[in-house]
Amino acid sequence: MAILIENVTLPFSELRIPFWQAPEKGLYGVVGPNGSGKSQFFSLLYQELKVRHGTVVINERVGCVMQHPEHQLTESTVANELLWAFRGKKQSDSRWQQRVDQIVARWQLGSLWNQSPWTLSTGQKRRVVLAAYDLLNPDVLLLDEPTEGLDGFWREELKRWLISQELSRLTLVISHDWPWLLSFMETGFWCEKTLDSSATDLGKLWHHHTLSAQSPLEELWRDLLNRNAPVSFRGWIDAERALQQVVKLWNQVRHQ
Amino acid sequence: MESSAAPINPLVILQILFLGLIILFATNEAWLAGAEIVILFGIQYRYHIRMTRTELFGLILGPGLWALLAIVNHQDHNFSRALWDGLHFGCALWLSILIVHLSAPREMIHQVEKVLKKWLGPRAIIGQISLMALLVMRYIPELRITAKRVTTDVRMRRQLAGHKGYWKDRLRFLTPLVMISILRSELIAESIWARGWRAQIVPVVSKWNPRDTWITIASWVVFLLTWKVLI
Repeated sequence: MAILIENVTLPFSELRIPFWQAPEKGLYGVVGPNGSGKSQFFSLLYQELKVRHGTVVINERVGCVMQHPEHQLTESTVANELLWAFRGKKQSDSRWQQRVDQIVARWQLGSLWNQSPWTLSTGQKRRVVLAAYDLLNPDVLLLDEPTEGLDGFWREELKRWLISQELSRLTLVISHDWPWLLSFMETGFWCEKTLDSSATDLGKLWHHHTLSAQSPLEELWRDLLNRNAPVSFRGWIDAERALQQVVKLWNQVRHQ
Repeated sequence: MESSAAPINPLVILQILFLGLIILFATNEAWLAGAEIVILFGIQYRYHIRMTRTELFGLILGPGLWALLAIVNHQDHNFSRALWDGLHFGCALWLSILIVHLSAPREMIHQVEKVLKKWLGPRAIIGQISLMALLVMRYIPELRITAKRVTTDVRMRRQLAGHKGYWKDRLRFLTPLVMISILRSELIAESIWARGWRAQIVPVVSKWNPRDTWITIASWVVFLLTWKVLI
């Protein structure tokens, strides 16, 4: 029982959590409308928010990349930002140095190493915080809107990194970026008034809950699914795959 | 209301207290609140500022009422949190009474503004600065959340790295707090300025003297040292 929340109601958002037990490992989305209490749920997990009623048991090393990277930058250089938490560690340790180098290379921070984090763009600031938590290697990693400010390249890189970490830790991701989530994540928890106790297929969650479509293709797909057409829930996120499925569907209709 | 026996320039006190208040309001650190009260009390004692019975009564009753209302009106305010809010209110009240007792150098402000306007453009510079100060006060609840987030992040990182940390880690929230205030205040200032607020009413006058300059320099040096070297 590493993380368990029972009979808790969060303040302000009034999100009810009757029972929620964290999965052991894997990638999970936490999805729901604005103001539904997703970020508050995270602050409960990283123990900033204290509740007076109910049970909250957290026996894991939790780390969080928050919605605003500015809240996590306290140093005058990117180098210090990554390393301040390891002040006691022997810098001469070659394995440690290798790990730092690896992470600096992964998040491409070499050229920013001696810059002030406050002179960086939002995407770069987020990369600095992501790198810091990559180095800290928590058992449970919480990512609150991690794609905000990241360009297409870094969204893909982040996705690749998260997939590579899937078996080694539990990662919970809050995002409204459905195509990005659906492109690599299988399941998630719906959060609206009540937090689901079990993870559900993200494609189904998208279909059942998201009301306004962000693109004509998404709208078409929702319409097809509402008409019980034999298309996959995630078909719309990749235009080429969507086209294949529509052509297949069209051929079926023609032959009937 | 009795005037001070040896008036210090209120701009100096404002600078010191303003920094202190930002820290005080933006954090939940009890030792900072204690430090702030000591500073306020010290200034009051040093400059022989006597308060009337009504003011002293207000200093006690106001925060008490605030705390009571906080307990009654908000289910999430537990007893200690409400008291804490009361303490904040008390310090703000204390500060405002001190400022009323002191006097401000209106002529000097006008002179400075005249010079600055000449070099930097037509805007009222001191007005802008006081606007920002006002806005930081206005956005204190948001800053408080910022400070709380930073402190949480620092705690998480220390725990993940596996060490207890140093005392100065408790001051880490200062950098993001100041930076976020600077980044936000300009935008918010525009919006309030557009609504017609002007910093025209400045309390009464005393001359700026070399002592004021030294205190100003010292307070900012201490602040910058804390920020840049220690943190």
